[in-house]
Amino acid sequence: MNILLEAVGLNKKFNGNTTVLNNVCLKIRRGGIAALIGESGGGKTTLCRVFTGLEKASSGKVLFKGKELGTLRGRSFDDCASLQYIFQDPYAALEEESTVSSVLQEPVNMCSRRGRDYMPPQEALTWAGLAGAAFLGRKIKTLSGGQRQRVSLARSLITRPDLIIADECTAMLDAQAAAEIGRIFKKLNQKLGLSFLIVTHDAQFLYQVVDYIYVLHEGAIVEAGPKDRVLNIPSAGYTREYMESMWEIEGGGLIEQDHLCQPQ
Amino acid sequence: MKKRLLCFIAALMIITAALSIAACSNNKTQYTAGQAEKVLRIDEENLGYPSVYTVSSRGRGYLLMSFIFDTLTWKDENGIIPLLAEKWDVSSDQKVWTFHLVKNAKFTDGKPLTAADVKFSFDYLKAHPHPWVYLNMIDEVKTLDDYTVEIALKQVYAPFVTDVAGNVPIMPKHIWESVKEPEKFNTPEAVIGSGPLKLAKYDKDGGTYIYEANKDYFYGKPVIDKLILSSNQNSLQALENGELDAALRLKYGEAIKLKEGGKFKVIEGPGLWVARVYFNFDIPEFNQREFRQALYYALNRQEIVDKATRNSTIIGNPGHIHPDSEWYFKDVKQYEFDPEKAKQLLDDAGMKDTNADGIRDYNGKALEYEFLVTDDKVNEAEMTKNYLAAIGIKINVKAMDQTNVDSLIKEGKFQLALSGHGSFGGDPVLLARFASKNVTVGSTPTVTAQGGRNWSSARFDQLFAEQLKQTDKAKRYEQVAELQKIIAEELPTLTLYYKKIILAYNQNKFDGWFFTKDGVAIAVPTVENKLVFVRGHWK
Amino acid sequence: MSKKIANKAAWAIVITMLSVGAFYPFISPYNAADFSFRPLMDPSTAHLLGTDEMGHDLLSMLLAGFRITLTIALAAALISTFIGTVLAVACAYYKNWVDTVIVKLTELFIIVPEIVVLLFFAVLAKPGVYNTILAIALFSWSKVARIIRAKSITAIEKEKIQYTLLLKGSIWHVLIKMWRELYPAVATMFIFQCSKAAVYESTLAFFGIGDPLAITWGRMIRTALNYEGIFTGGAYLWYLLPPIACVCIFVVALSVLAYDFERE
Ligand SMILES: Nc1ncnc2c1ncn2[C@@H]1O[C@H](COP(=O)(O)OP(=O)(O)O)[C@@H](O)[C@H]1O
Ligand SMILES: [Mg+2]
Repeated sequence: MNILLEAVGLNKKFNGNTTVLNNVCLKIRRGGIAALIGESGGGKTTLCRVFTGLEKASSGKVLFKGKELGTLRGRSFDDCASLQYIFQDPYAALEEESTVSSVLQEPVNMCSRRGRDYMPPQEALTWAGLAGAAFLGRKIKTLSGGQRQRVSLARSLITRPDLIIADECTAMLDAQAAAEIGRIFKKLNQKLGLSFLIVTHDAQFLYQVVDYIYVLHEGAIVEAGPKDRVLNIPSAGYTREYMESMWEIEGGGLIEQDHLCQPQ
Repeated sequence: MKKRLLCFIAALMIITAALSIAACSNNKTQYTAGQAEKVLRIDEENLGYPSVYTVSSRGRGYLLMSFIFDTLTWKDENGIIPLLAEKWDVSSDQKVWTFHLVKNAKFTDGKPLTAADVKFSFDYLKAHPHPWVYLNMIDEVKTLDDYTVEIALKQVYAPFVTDVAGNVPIMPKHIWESVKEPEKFNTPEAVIGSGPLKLAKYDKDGGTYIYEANKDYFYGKPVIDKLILSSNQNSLQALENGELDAALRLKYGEAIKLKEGGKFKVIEGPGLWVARVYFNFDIPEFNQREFRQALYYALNRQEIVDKATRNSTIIGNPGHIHPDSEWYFKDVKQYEFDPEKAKQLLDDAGMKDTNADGIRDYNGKALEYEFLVTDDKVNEAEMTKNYLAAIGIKINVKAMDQTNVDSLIKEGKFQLALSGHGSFGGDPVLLARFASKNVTVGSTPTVTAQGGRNWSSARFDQLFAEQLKQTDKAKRYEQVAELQKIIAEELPTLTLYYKKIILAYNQNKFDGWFFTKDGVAIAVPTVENKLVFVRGHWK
Repeated sequence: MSKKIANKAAWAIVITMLSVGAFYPFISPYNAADFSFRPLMDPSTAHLLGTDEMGHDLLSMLLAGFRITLTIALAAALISTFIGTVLAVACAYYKNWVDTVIVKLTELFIIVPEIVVLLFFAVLAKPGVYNTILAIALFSWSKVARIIRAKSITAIEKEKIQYTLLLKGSIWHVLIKMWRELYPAVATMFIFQCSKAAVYESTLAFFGIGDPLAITWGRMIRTALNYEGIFTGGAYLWYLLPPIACVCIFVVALSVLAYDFERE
């Protein structure tokens, strides 16, 4: 199996004592759409930020394409460009006063300066479902939340990444806008072979977009497996609870361990 | 917006309030003074603790110290008078001086002042050198009995009576003999002397001195009970408001206005204070006499006196000595304002503008200098800059306060400088500032010394040394005249002007002020001669 | 509405003052350095503001003051604001020891009395207007740095700026990206430095730093106050008041502008 991103025994403590991540081990397959679920405050965002390098793990390591990723400063531009991050809040992630074209210009400039092949902004917008040259001239502040999130997505497509990590990127959107984002993820996954790690609480997403699920509880991965199995026959008690709170579904079964590494 | 404006207005109000409170409190402090007690209040600056080694080495520092410490001889408006020594004799070879002390002088701690204290003071000052006093000419000081001191000199020293005997403060032996570091000696014992006043209080931060009368002063009981010297911000206002009884730190124009007002009496005298241009002789072209002469020709000194100092000074004399001095010699080379002559001299010296930038060049270097001035002489600097620009010399003015200018000049860290100083007047020993170090055995304060390479002339040195040993006054005058001729010809410095000093005072309270002839001790120009507090009259 | 008017009026004043500074030689009646007139003349048609104690034409000096005073104010403010801002952003960008060192340095410059900095500078500096500018900048940057650092540290945590970090943007990229966040504070600091420099300039000339002969409002105020007859007769009306009014108007106009930036 082709592993894109791997977490090996990640621990994260804030201020030296509060443990937020507890020996997290997981492997993300190339070409899939994985979901990271779990209760609020469980450490999902922290885990994503450790992957992107915005946060430093207290111990453990992150492997990307088999190579260890250091701190943000230690990473190569190519690594950074290949691992893109979409922020939760589309209102905070983009400069209100900028135009769409200047937002998309930033990664273009970065890539061209460093000689990396990039996707033209027009094309990226098309992928994100925002066709029309006129759109480039729009100011961010005139866009709806869904449009902004798609501009964010288009921005991360420009660097032609291998993996996009999206942290609750639909939490602030209405159901339709969220569904639209889900469809786009799916399309990108199928047409471009892009892999995703999505933090979400959205049941629709879990059922229609995602193919693999990790459950994070109190900083530890308590369950991991293909969507159908985790959703239908969750093995960990916590997963069941979580699912019940979401859908009130029932189930049970074996724990499939293949995507969990052995705790050390 | 409103908040900011409010803050601004509030700040303004606080400042105004603070100012008016300060003004009010100033007004209030004065009523307690001057009722039963006879308190005299004069303006002064903060000059440090008024003991011998801790007070400022500027002339006014000496003055504050002299209220407490007496000397063997002293001066009043007519010249030398006896003080601690009621009379003195000198041997026929002018080398052995015998001083007979008064018998009733006492230190303020009650101990009598005797010959032992005199000998001790001379020896102590020799062991702990002080910028006011040089005692190199002294061979030995002996006590013949309790009230007779004999001072033997290695060589004749013409200004001995004024500049040594009238300068060395007599300190109580029983206190000072245990003092190892006089610069740090600032206890109440350090201000025990035999003078007319004793220090009651010194406020180090505010710079206020309160002296009380020494009722047992041997020379006579002071007519005042208290003397308060304080650093007022505005002497004019303080005098007008009755917070001061006499003010020295007035501008000339202010004093003239006061005089015209008629409420105060204003007296004017020679300031014994000179403003002059210093050359740093490390700069090659400054060693060319023609260059210095050209500069002097280029300066319109009369215009500087009129415009920059607004007639508060009198025009400087090329021979350096003040025209009111008995040593003044007038037939020296004169330098009437003449820019054409200046240009001619520079041309002849090979300092021509070779690259047509308006500035003359010498050895491939433009004649461009930094001109260090004290911050009160910006007008003079502006005029000088124009005069020199007219003859093709560029100067860049750098203004600093007196203390900094003094130390930069002393360390030789300057090119051209304009500064002024007192200790100007009295005995021509002041010309030591142009003599080489090896002949300046005299007592000339080091405050006027300049660092770096100095001008020097063997003939000047020789004449200077000779006149110091000349006891025949007429012959000495001829030699001093010759020195002035050399100075006027050579211009080791450019003498710009001499300040006048003024005192405005309330004659309805206290009078009896006089200008000390040639200044007290080593020519400290003043009306605050301590004898004024004894001989004056309280109304 | 009235705020708008105040803002417009402030701009109008500042622009007018700058143009006078730029073009005063065309409107000045005499050469401001010329002191050949009769001293202390009252206003007349030949000398609208009379002459000073030396015989300078006061109107010409006032006009000449526009150029040097405003140049010093603007240049000093520009330099100190630039240095302060860059160091502040460096603190936020590099964190760790860079931050510690810069903060220590800033504190040092804030606690060491300005007078000490000045005296130190005065010994080394050749007199001249450039040095006035440098000296003011030298002891002003620390205050800018302190304020802007606080803003930068909050700003750099914003998601839109973290995006630039994720793309390995340099400190300059981050600075540009943060500009919109910092701009109000930077503009406010700039304007405060301007007004301070306008007032400080004349003081410096007397510390051996500036050119004491440079014709500035500060110098006019100082010589006016040194003139003993300033308050007897009407001399203060044409000698002291005009330069004070100019400084006040300039400072107040700038404060109005600063306020508007701060409010943004
Ligand atoms: N910078 C931080 N300092 C201290 N605690 C933090 C910090 N960031 C997150 N936390 C804590 O870590 C825990 C996990 O947070 P987070 O990763 O945001 O959870 P989630 O995204 O799963 O809701 C929370 O308890 C949160 O308070
Ligand atoms: Mg989260």
